[in-house]
Amino acid sequence: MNDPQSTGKTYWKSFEELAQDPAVMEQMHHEFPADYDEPLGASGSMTRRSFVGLLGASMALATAGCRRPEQEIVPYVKKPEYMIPGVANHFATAFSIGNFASGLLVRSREGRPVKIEGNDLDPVSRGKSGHLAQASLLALYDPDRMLRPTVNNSDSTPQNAFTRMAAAIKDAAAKGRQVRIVVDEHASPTMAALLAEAQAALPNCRVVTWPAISAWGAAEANKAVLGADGILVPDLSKAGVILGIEADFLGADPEAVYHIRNFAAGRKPSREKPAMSRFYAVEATMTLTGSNADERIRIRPSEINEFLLALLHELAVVRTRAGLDAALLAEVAKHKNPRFPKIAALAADLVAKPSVVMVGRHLPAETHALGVLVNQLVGAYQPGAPYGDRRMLPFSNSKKAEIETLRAELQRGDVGVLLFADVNPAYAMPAGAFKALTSKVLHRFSFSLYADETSKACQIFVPVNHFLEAWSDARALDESLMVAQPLIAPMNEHQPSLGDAILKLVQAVDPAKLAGVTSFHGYIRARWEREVYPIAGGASFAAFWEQTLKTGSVAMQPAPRAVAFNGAAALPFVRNAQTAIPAAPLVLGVLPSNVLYDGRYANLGWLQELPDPVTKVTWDNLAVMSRSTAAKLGVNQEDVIAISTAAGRLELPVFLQPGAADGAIFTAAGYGRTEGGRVSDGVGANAFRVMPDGVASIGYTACTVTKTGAKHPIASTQNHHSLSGDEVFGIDRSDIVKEGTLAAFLKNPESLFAGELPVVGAPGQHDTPLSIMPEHDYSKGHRWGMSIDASACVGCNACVVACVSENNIPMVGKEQVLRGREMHWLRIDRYYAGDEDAPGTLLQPMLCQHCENAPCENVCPVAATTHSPEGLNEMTYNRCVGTRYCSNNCPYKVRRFNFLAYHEDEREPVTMVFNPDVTVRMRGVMEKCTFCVQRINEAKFHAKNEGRALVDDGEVVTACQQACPADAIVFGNTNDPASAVSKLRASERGYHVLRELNVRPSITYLAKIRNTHGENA
Amino acid sequence: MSTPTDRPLRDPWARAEVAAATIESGHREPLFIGMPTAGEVTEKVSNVVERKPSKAFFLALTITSSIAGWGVLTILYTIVTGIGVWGNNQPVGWAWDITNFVFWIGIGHAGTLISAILFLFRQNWRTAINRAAEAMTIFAVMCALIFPIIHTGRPWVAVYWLLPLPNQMEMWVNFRSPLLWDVFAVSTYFTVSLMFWFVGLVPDLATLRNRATKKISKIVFTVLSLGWTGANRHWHRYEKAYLILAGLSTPLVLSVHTIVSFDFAVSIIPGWHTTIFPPYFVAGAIFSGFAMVLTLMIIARKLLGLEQFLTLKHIENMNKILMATGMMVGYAYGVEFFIAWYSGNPFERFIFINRAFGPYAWAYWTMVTCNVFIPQLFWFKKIRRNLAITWVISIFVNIGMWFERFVIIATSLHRDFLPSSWGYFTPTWIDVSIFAGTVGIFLTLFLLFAKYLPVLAMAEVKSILPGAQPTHNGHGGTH
Repeated sequence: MNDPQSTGKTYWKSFEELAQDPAVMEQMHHEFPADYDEPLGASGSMTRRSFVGLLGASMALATAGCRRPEQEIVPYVKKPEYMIPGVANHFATAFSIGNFASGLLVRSREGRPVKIEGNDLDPVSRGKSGHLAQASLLALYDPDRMLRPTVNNSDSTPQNAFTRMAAAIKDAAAKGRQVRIVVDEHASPTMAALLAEAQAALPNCRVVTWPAISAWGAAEANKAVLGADGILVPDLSKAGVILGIEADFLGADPEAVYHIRNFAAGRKPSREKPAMSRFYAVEATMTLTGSNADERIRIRPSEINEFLLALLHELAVVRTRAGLDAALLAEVAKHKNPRFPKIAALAADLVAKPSVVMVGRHLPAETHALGVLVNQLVGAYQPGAPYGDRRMLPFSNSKKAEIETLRAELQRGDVGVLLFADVNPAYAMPAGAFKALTSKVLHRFSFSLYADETSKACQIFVPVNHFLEAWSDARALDESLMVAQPLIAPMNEHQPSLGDAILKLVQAVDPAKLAGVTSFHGYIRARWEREVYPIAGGASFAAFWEQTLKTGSVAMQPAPRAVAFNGAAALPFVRNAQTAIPAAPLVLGVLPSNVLYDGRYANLGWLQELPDPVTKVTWDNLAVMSRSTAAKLGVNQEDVIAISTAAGRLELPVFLQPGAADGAIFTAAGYGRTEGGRVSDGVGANAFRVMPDGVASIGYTACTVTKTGAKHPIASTQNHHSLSGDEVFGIDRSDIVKEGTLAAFLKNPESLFAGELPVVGAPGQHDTPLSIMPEHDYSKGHRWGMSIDASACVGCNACVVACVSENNIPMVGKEQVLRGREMHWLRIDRYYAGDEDAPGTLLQPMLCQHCENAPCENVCPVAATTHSPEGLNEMTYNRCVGTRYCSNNCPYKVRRFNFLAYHEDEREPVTMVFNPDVTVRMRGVMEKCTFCVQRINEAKFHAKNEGRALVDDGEVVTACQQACPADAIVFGNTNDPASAVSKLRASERGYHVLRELNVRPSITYLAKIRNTHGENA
Repeated sequence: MSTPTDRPLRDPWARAEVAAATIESGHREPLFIGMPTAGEVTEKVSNVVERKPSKAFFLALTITSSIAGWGVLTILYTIVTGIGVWGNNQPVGWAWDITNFVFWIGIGHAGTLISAILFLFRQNWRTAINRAAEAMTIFAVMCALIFPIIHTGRPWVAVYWLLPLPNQMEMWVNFRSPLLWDVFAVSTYFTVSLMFWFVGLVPDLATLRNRATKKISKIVFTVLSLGWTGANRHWHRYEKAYLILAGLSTPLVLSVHTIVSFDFAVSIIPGWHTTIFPPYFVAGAIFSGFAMVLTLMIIARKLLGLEQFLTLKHIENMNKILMATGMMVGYAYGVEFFIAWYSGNPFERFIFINRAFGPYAWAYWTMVTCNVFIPQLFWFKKIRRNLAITWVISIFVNIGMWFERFVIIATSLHRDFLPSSWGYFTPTWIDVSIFAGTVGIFLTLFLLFAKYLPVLAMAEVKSILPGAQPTHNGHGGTH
């Protein structure tokens, strides 16, 4: 306001101000008058504001009929609570994949959810969310989901559908046939309660949980050997040494968002805090998790169990660790195996530090049992150890028996009604198996988000709500309870949620059952009042409920969960171990997709175009194999091969993957949908089709391969160039990525930067300035900057999807990706170094570096890209004519050009997903990362309104930073020496990519440190 | 009736004397076959314009204008649909568009060089080719100008946002951008070339006006000849204007391609960021321009029956220039490699090794073969004077020079600093169609020019006819 220092005079606006009238002075400190929020007409009289509003409205009416398509903007007649147009609201809810639930905080603008983020108050996700959770927003607005119930594949009404279903259930009961409800794995205790009530209420009913992907082996082994009926989840922040046995806990596993946080916490060494965990990965395929290993041991799938047996031998026999009983010890003693030279060192490491072994969920129970034995020997279940808290995924008990029972019942023809509740087994089975299995069932119903493969095979299909339209609840890993609340009324009017649909069905069969329950919402509330509120306490239930809705979760006292190790039960597993994984000359490994998981969200372009973090391939699944396997088969990249197993045949293009084991082919499940929707259908091939018909649908199976002679183009966003080798003519690229071992780093941090090119034109290095123009002074106010810790980044893709969602980035489709026109503003570059069979992987999130001396800016002929006084490299879309010169001159190639009108053919209501704070770009303009300038401005507005000159550290959080489960990305004001980003930029690991160009980037990368064995034992 | 332009040769006595002296001296090859009179020159050249167009002319015009029409359609398709119909991608933001632009601009160089620089150096042999070369310049620059406009994502705003027009937002163009310098350089070049060409045409247009028998051509030539009477004052001012324009054009020959080369040299991309580019581009432009003049004139002299005026001496002279400039670009190719090695910059080294041995090696070696190896044949006089071989070589040089621009643009962009963003460019049929379309436009315009305007600068040719100029010691007028 008045700044007497600047002019020496005091300026005043009114007599009252001059007289320092307290009432007026008070008012002056508020930007808006007290009645600013009043709805129009509330006071009944014409105010100045309403007059201006009317004036504007009449102007709008007068000019109606002009060129632009008009859209009416109408003020609320009755304004919803807490809603100010243009101001976002955030609501807590929960998202789950299988048994893993995490809390979300969803941003809503004018009543529509526009961005999904993790809930800071959720103790499991701690504010983070994975790529699936982020992308699930798009499903809310997916036009392929806007369906009506169908009866015998023709449109019907919900009323008709439920009446018919009830009649069918009664008919089945009359005939003495069974009713079976098949559900997916879930984390909702109230859903479990409802299903239990439905099971009791419906005649001859039983609920069977039958997911496409589950940790079958782990559940079985834990139950038998550990006496824990469920899947235990370790806390990796407590682990000094981690051994992953083809475990993809940083990649495809649903709980990756939880693990990445804990894992990354121990991966950011500095000279002050040199502690760093060491991660060994033993695997056949190159998983994302394995590519983050300090020591990666490549073995054939059939050797996995041998490796674990040899490790057990080393621990129990050689190192005589106590814990195995005599019979088991005798069995283990047979497995001295000299083929794995690194085992002695590994065993030494495992016993020296708190350590944990994690086994991939696709591996059989035998492998998991061996893993349990190793964990027992290294003390991983002890209090304080990684498994010490004995956190368990809810409802993750072994379901093998109940599924096998159901299969037997189906084969016998006992089942009269089969209801699939948001689960899609028809897709996750060999071709024809579903039809054969369910052919004797009289009535098949499906409740599902999409009219999927299973729904198409059912007589009655009822579409159910997206989780953002539905009430639910969930139990987290740490036993805390979350409420999942809807953010929007169902996009499809009158469409039920899954809970409502089950409730409705029960009541349609027998109105006396679940009497008085009108909605699943009411059911949840009642159950929480009955069971949660008495434990959690509080003034009143209403207040408690409201508070829970605000925070999203209630912490609960974890029930003490004992593990009762039973070594004798492990004996059969140990005996069978060597034959548990097929040892055929060629095996096929089917694993969950790194981007689609089991394919439930396959219809989302955001996921289909998300590069696989390992292969960087979009829009396809592949026959991934090593170069020598391909040579042996006589095939090369992009050759289509037919893979035949006992269950079926699969045609996939070959992809050569460094680090993959020989004698094996790996592929991802989740592709090859036939009824997934217009985006997903026909993309890739369904790998579930070739897995043996049974309970487990992922894992290894023997296969044979024939060439088809066809070629299939693979749309990769990054050709797999290593940093050395023929392709780059042996030229050292150490100016791009920097890495070093922990030992070398601690000895001399400068060793990370050996061989760096000299910087021409760096300030202070020349007697005369290189530029005749004076440099801009950034030292006042804000100067935005970022740091990215390459050591912490695991490449999980959460940031990429967050960026897409926040910034309205278009998806371009496979054909355009093949042309190299993907639009991601943020990409994760992946480089391999070293031997092709044992490559070291380097990941580097790459986005606009906001160079102080930006090469893009001076070449734009129309000044469409310019520098802001706060150090942002800004893009003015309106001004851009699209010469692409800026992109050509960008050394990081992070600019993206709208070669075509990628947003033009968007089908409604998909456009509702757009973030209204970010322009939707038209064709012909360049775009790129803005450092989320809309978030910066929002924070600056808040600061200004609150009278602060600068925003606080941590007040601006970019979308990528917000999503990053590893906290590898930090953003802030670099003028503030106390800010987190300033401190990180001063790190001895810090460097600028392509520093020698003197473009002076605003992003500091922190070099990758590998805690390799041998140098730092 | 004598034409106003055969004034210097009115004296038949002087003519015979000079002709005899020329033949006697014999140490220079004459610029004409036989001893054409000024009247014969007028007759021969004007006849092309005045006679009825042949069927072959219409056939040729149909073919070239069809190709041009197809090109225009594909350009419209691009504007309606977006640059995505081309093969351009990330990282290859520029490909055939800018390649074609530089290619055509380069071709435009020969015209100005012949008109201006050779004029200033009194290279009289230029008179046989300067008119056609200047026309070619204009048409080539017109083709070139298409690309900077259509290569933009939003040409409908680019056409005026690229100009420094005052506006109420005080939003100016970015004067730091080489692309903007391009706008100035190329538009200046086009304007001056057009003026130069037109001023040179005026006396000839007046000749045609005087000879015109048909009403329409009379009106058209009357308007275009600007009231030229051949008066002494006219000639005086004409010579002055021509000299001034030649003086203005001379720096432009050097500046245009220098500035075009700045598009690349000013950037920071290895393979582009090269200080040798300005002279290298100018040499290349002259090289390609002469090749295109040869391609067109060898055919035109045959079809239009101008062998008498455009002799093997002219062809040989042009071939010598072709060889010289070809070696200059060859030297530039070599120096680029040397500097890449000498700089010690790994990115710089990589880009050149990648150029020669990477995925675009085929393009690189096509370029080197066409531009450096094949013109070496001109060491042999027999080949220099062999029309068929010269024509074939000129085609190779045209191809080679197109590839030179493609190699510079595409191979530098497709693999720059970060291997993660490397890519590869493949053209689409639209890319090919648009380039073919500009060739069609170029040939159509040239055909129309060759038929409807004097393809030889009559007034200038006459000025070097034997006896046209004052003589000393029996020498004169033949060089």
